[in-house]
Amino acid sequence: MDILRKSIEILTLLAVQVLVLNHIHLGLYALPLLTPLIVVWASYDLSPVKLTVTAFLVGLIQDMFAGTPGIGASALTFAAFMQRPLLRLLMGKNLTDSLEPSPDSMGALKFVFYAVMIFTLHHAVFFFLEDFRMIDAWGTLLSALSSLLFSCGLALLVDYVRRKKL
Amino acid sequence: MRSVITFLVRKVHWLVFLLLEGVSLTLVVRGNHYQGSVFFTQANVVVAGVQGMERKLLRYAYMPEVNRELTERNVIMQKQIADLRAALARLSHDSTETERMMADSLRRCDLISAKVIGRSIRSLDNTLTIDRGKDDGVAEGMGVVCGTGIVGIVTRVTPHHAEVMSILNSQSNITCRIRGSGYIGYLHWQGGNMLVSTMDDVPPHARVRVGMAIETSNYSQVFPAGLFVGRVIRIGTAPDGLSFRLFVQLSTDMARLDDVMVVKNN
Repeated sequence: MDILRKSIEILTLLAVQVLVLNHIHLGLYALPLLTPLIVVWASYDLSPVKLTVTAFLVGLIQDMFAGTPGIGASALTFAAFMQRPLLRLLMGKNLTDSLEPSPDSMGALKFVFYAVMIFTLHHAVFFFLEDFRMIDAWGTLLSALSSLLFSCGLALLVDYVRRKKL
Repeated sequence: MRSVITFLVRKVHWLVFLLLEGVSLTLVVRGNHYQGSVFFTQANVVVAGVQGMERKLLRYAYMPEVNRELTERNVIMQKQIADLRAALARLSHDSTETERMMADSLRRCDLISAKVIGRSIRSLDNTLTIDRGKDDGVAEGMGVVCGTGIVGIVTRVTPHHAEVMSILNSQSNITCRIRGSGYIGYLHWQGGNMLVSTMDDVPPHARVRVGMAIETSNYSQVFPAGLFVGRVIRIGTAPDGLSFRLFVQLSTDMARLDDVMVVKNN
């Protein structure tokens, strides 16, 4: 049941991203990216190999629809790889194997910080690979920051709605 | 081996991450036109830089071989110049028996390349040692030249080495002539400055000026005629007062000699 629920969540996120969000560009810079949520929601007891492979596949599908082969996959794979060290850093001695990241299990502030960090790492890799040569460094930074702001806001909203439904 | 496998099992998520990142980055470079062109342009710059360094290193490694080839070419070109001069003289209806003999002797020369492995330059009787000997075709009495001029005459030979009496040797007497006029003299080193030798027994009626070139003459059985020896820097009188003593700035710097050629007169 849990696997089914998680699969539906992932597919829903993916569908929203490729069918709706990929077509939104706020102020020509901001691109909302919700796919890092699958990394944010992953529980600590999920095997890091499974999480990395899942993130890679989700990123790859996102790339297929966006026409940016490898960029999304690389960014999401990196974010998935950094999830466990980040949780260990934030939770310290309070970390349990069965931890499901949420405001209730981590504390609101820690959860927000954790989510923002995951999104930051993802966006940093994504926009660096997209620009690649840093010719317009300020433009890239503006894109990344505005996208980050928008994505984090949207992600926290989606997470709130998800928890309410659960 | 077991510890390696244990380590790999513990860090398998690292391997998976690196593998998937590698695949993603490959897709980025190959699937995106802009990123691909930037990547391959930068890669070309790096590759060109590395290949440039490799060429520099190889060029340095091949320098001895290049030096030897240049020395050989220099000597051959000097021979060709003398040959052409003789041909020009013949065409200008100014040919003499001497000129014909000189051209003929040039054509009969073979050259054996060698390296100087030992030398003396400070004593009155200086010698050189070269790394070619009897087994390489070197024999006593053969002349030794270099890219810039004459060096000496082989005096002793072993199977793989030879001793050469340098032109900076009080026993050395090489028949030379003033280029253009043909007046003969004997190149003989008096000691002292190793870049200056003297040419004695030049007839007092010879037309000679400072700056004139001195070359080997056709009377020498050792050297091909026409090889550049040096230039006249001062005109003096022999001790007996009956001939000129020309002070010649030698074209060969014996202190820096490395690649030489032994002249085989067939």
